[in-house]
Amino acid sequence: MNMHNNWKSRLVGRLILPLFLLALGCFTWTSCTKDIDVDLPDSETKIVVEGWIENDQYAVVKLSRSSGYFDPIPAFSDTLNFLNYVLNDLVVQNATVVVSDGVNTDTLTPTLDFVNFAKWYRLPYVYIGKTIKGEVGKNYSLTILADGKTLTATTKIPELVYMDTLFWKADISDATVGLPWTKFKDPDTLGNAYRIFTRRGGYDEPYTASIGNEFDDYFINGTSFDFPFNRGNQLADDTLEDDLSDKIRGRFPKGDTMDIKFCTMDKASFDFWRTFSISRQSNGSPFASPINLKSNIKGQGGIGVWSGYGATFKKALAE
Amino acid sequence: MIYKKLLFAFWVALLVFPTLLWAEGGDKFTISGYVKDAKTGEALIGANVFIKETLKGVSTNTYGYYSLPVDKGEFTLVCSYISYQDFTQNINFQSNLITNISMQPVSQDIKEVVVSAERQDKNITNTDMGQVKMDIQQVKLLPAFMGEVDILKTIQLMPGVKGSGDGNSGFYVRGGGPDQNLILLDEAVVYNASHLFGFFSVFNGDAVKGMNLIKGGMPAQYGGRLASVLNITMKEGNNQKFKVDGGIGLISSRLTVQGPLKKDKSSFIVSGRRTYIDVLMKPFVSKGDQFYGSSYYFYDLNAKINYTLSDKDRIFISGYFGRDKFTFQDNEDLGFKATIPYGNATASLRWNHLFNSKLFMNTSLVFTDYNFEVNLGQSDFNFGLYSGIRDYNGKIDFSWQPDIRNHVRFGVNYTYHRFTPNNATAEAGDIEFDFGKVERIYGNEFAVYLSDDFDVSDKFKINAGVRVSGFQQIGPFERFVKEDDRVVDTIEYSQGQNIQFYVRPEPRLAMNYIINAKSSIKAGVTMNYQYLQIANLATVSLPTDLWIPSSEKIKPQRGIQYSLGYFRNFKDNTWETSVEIYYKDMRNLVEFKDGVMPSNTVNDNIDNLLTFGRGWAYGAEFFVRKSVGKTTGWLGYTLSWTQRQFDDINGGKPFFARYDRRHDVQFTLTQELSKKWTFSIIWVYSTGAALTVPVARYFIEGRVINEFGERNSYRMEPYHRMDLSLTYVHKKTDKWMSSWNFSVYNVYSRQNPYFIYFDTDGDLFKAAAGIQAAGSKPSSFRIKAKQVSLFPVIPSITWNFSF
Repeated sequence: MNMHNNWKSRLVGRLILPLFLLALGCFTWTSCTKDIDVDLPDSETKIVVEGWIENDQYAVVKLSRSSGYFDPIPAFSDTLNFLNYVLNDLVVQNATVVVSDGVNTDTLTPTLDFVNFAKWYRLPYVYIGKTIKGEVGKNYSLTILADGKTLTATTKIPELVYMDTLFWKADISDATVGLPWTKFKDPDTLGNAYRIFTRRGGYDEPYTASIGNEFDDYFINGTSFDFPFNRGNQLADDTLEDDLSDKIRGRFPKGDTMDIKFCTMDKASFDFWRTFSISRQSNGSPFASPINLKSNIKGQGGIGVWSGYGATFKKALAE
Repeated sequence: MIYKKLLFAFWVALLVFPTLLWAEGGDKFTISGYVKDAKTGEALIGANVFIKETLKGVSTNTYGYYSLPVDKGEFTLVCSYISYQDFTQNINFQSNLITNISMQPVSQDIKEVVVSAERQDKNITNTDMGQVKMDIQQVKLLPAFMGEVDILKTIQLMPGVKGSGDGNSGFYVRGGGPDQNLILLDEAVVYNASHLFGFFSVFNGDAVKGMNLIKGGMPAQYGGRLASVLNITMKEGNNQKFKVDGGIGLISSRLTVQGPLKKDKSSFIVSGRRTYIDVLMKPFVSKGDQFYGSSYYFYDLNAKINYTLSDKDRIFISGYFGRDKFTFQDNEDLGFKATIPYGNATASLRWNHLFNSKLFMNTSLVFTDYNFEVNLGQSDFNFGLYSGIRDYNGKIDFSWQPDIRNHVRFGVNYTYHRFTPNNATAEAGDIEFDFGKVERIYGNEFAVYLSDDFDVSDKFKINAGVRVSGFQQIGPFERFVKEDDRVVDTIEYSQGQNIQFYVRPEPRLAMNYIINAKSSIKAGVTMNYQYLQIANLATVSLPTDLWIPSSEKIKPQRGIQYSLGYFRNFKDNTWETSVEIYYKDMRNLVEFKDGVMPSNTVNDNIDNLLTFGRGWAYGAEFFVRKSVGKTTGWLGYTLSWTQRQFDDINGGKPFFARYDRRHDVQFTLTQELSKKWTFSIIWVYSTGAALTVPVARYFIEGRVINEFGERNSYRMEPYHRMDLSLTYVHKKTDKWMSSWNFSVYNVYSRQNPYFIYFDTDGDLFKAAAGIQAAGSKPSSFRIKAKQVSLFPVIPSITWNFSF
């Protein structure tokens, strides 16, 4: 599935650059690289929205602020300064966040979540619904009042699509790790979009989607076939010993329980997550054009996404 | 409005001509013929042929042909050409004459070059503006990167022409994009003129005779591009004796064989070049190596045959074939592998015919093909992508010199285009993905033109012309109609069915007022239309760039250029100087919409992904050149601005084009030190390239995301560089010549910016997990800007031989 989204970055990262070196004898990149000062204009601080509503679940909205490109962040271990930065500068407290299904409204409750923050480096301040649970086929609107700004967005939870199979295949070069494979039947109508989240069973980690794990049915409308996808890496994976974190990057170790959340979503959400992936892949490459995320948040000074997810689940042992 | 004025001026001019065209009187004859190199039989392009007593003259065309009207009586015919001895002959004109002139090259033995005082000051007297002619011999003396003589790099040394930094043969003329240059090799369009993603040009210096670049005031016989015409002529081959030239360089070797098929009548030339870095690398890469099996090479093959059928007919057949091939193999990580072959092929058949001494015709049949392919594979997946363009072109050009005051050109041009935008194939094991139909776009492009180079008086000259061009997109074609980014309908067009038809008039006007023998003022207005373009996803030119034609959605690009120049020569025309200013307005330029990926072209039309806007450019070019004597060279300075405005890009605000450069300085100097040693130096400076950089940062799912600021609002550091070269002629006899060229690229190892990227410093998370190295202090997280430079100082050596 990643193949068509990734071919360009693969071409750049793994092919063109090494071959430039190979062919032209520029010995290492570092010998030709130097630090420079880049003078940037001041930027407006925006409210960053990360919100979703899933079938049978209450809405979840996280609000944070954008910062100047070169603004430093205190080190994690510099605890007081770091917490001060996170709670006062980064996350937006005292916002009013309201979700509506067209009939009823649900004012979301701000909640501190230090467990996910400390363990999985997720924002510690989350707005969570308490009356409206997501239903398949329904539209949901979001209204946010924060820092004097009014932001709105709408989304829909599309019909569910189920995974038919879920299995694991060991890598050729290393049989102790492997990719998850699945198969599902795309509906005959064009315009379906998906996002696959994963987590390692037994680690109590949040569901995470890998780069490129969002796709639509442009290529595959109405078809059904086995395909591999990547495990979504946890930010905390970076804190593992280097060789281990590299080894299990995108892969499930043999013996793990593969816990998969397979979501349908609307086009606006797909566009956001696709640009999110492209942006993460192409960062700094001279061969890619700069890309800003395609936000579905309306209102001055807001950016981000409000996604409706139609989620189905499947688990299998990696063996 | 301007357009109406132009048309008016043109019609006035056209009404005036006929009365003058046939206003001949008295006893007038015409002398005509070909001018050739006496030793090789190569036609000399742009040689001056004139009557000494009256100083009236003409210059030879691309085929070395001249036609000069003369009065009855006894006169001296003179022909002059740089680095050749003047040809003079007393002739008593009593009838029309055909005189073929053989020019003797200035040999090393003659110390003093006889320069005729009457040397024609062409740059002062003709109506050409913004033109640069260059002989390959001049190019070969200049420093060459990795020892590879490169025409495209040399023209980047001209004012008004900008390169795009290290390792790029793409060039930008007066604010135009790289796709707005018409590059012709023996009349055949070359769509991708570079090897290795732009590091080297496809023109092998041994097969090329010379080039002519028109960056403003494009005459009516050229069209189809807004910015410039680069006309490259291949050598015809020595028709006197067999000759072998070759060279061995750091990265490639060349070999050229030429000779007569029938002495004085017919000759051939075959020239090849291949890089061998892949061959040299092979022994050093072991089988167990991760990248074993990876390689890269390119090669070029040029061939040409000419045949003189009679005094009136000549035939030329020429061809070019070149390929780049990357093979990449990563033996770890699921065995990722890739092959990328791409290249150009051109073939042209030309027939020169003289109806009489005044009317010259050239008919060309041309085939051009460019294609690009990527094949990627990993595990069970295979992914392929191919794109290309193929042209069949026919044209007839007439050149008619009814009298000394008029030179009329007219002709027709037709091209059948076949475009293949990105087409993808993919399979997973046994399953093939549905990537929709192969999208192909078919089109007819045509043009008719008429122009006259007309001397109103001895002081005032006009070149007026009109070109009427058109483009038709024809079926088969499948149109995907979209609403809100969703395909709502498809329309099928059958084979040959008309889909869209554009016809556009392109008036051209150039004027020259000759103040005196040493100086003149020139002005020009040109309107051009362009029916095909590259839509560029990346910020640098890549062989993946797609050529796409005008369509229902894409209107033809229109350019209007106004230019004004002052030309002055000093010291018997040994020093030429000029100042030119220009303003250019461009409409219907194309860009991809933000965030488009190549895969989006599946089940969609590529023009649905584009957005349209305008551009404008203006500037001043200062030029000083010395082209005769032991010391030659030039100094150019350009002050310029290039902007774009697209409603859907940058919030509709105007932005600078990536290749907008405020200042450009180019300096070259070639010094003949002795018979054996020649020294050359180049120095270039230009304002840094414009770049889009991130201005803000935020987190999504814990990941750092960049928010980019205004398009191209940041400037990289200025680019400057000095190159040196030393050419040593080791041995030179009539039978054997060998020489060494030592070049040093980037002498003072300037770290010129190639691109900038941003890296994070400090660990956001590691400290928390307790794996921070003992004793080190926790570092705060920050982002740093890093600049990558491509080439430090690079010396190279090349050995050339000839026998």
